[in-house]
Amino acid sequence: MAPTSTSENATIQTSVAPTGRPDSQENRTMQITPDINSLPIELISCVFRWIPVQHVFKFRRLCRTVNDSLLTTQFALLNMQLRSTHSPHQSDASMWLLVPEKYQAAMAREKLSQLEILDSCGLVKTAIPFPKSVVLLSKLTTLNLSRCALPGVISDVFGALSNLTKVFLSNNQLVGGVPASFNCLSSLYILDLSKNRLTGHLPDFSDLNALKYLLLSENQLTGPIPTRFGSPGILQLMDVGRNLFSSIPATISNLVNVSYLNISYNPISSPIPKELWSLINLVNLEMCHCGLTGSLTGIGALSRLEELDACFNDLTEGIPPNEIPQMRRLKSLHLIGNPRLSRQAWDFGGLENFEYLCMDRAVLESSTLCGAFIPCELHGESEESQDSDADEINTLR
Amino acid sequence: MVRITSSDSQEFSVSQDIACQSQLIKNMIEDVGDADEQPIPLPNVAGAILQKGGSCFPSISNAPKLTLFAVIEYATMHKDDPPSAPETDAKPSTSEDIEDRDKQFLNVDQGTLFEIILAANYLDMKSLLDVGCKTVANMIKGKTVEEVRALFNIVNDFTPEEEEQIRKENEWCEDR
Repeated sequence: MAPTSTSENATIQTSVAPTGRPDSQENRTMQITPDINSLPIELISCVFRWIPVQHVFKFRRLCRTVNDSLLTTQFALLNMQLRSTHSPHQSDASMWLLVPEKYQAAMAREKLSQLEILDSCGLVKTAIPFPKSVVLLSKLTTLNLSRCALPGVISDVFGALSNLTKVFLSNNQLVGGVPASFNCLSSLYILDLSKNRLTGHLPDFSDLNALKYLLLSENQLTGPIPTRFGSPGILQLMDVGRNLFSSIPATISNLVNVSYLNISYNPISSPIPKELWSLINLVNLEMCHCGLTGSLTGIGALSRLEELDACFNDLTEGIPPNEIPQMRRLKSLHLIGNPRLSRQAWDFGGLENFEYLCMDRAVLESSTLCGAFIPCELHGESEESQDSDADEINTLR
Repeated sequence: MVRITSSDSQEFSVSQDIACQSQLIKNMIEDVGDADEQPIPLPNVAGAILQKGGSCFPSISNAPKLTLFAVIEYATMHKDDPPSAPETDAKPSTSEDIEDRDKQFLNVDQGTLFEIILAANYLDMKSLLDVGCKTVANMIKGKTVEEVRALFNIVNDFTPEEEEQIRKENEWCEDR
């Protein structure tokens, strides 16, 4: 008896049949055994949903149909139900970085919307694109995607992530500019973008009211060194070394509480602005290989300074002899590579902690050096020995 | 009783509580009212006749099975189950959660297994669909991609470059 074909039933059949491929039905009724390849794509999702996320994506390689199925949002939503689902968990978070884009978005929406800390934990070994759906994790306070081999640009998503206090994106292959939306992060405390290939001028950072640590070293950033942050006096550490910054603005004096400042390896090539000497909380000042000219006159105001590295510039005057005793905590002084430094008296006798001096031999030999047992690294040719550029350690009295 | 007919015109007569484990049939009955009048046609489900009247369905694993017959058998077996609670986050199910009687029931050849999955999907029988898919998932779990291809006769239709690209994207789970 053939299936009845009253118009009423026929209508029902077509309207309720949920899936199925009409074109394959003939084959199946002709006793061709179905296999996994004959399953519609949504049923393939229903099979693979039972394989845990940390294993399932290797099966993308099986064939196109399976691959397509595993990349759907439907698969993501089904597969996620398998995962243990107490509070958002760190393992969820590091797994999240590795799954395909739609899975990421679904997981961010369904599972991780309350996540506060996203930390790659160094588990990501392969290059993954910047996870755009991070924008859905609005409760995030910490975003650590360091050493993830992230290529491409940093998505301009930070406007939606206003709870962030720590952002680590260092050691990736990020290109393009620093997104303007970082400025929305008024609670941001640490920003680490070092060791990427970021270019261009920095955006306005004037609303970063809580920024304490700014790490931008080893990029290709241009323009003036950043000096304007929301609350002056909050910033304590700024490392902008090895970039293409071209000037030290007079507004550097805003950074009144900075204790560590590294501007080394930037093509500044100008005199040191006297405003730098108003940063009286500096403990560590690194400004080698910047093409700095002029003198260090005024540096004596940095009474807390312990280490000064001003190697390989084009300074013509060192620290005035009357200012040296003011730098009571000075431990080490690196001035090598400033061959035009004028001769002067270097008297470290009053500096209790002074322990290290690195200078061009030629400069020092024409100067007067005083101090007790200073390990001293001299570079360049001496009149007695001809071992050019040899480093040697002397103990001078 | 509800009368249903398979794609090859086999007619089955089953009690309504069994038939209504299929959401599809349940909806049809609700839509057309009294189902006694005419059999409900299920053109997507083969009845096939080899074991007609065989009551020991699960024992024959190499012969093609009567899909609809098998589905009815499953429905009969589960007719007294409490209505399935929606899967909650508190108690996620895994592919290991298969009742022994279902394991027995699904101890069949691949072709039959996929027939049952297709039928369960068409008939909208979630528990049978789940248990069928779990069974296939368990056949896949722990195997390499190559082993799974061999097991299910899956033809690799990627170019070597495409496959390599996908392998790269999934290096993190390839060796797990």
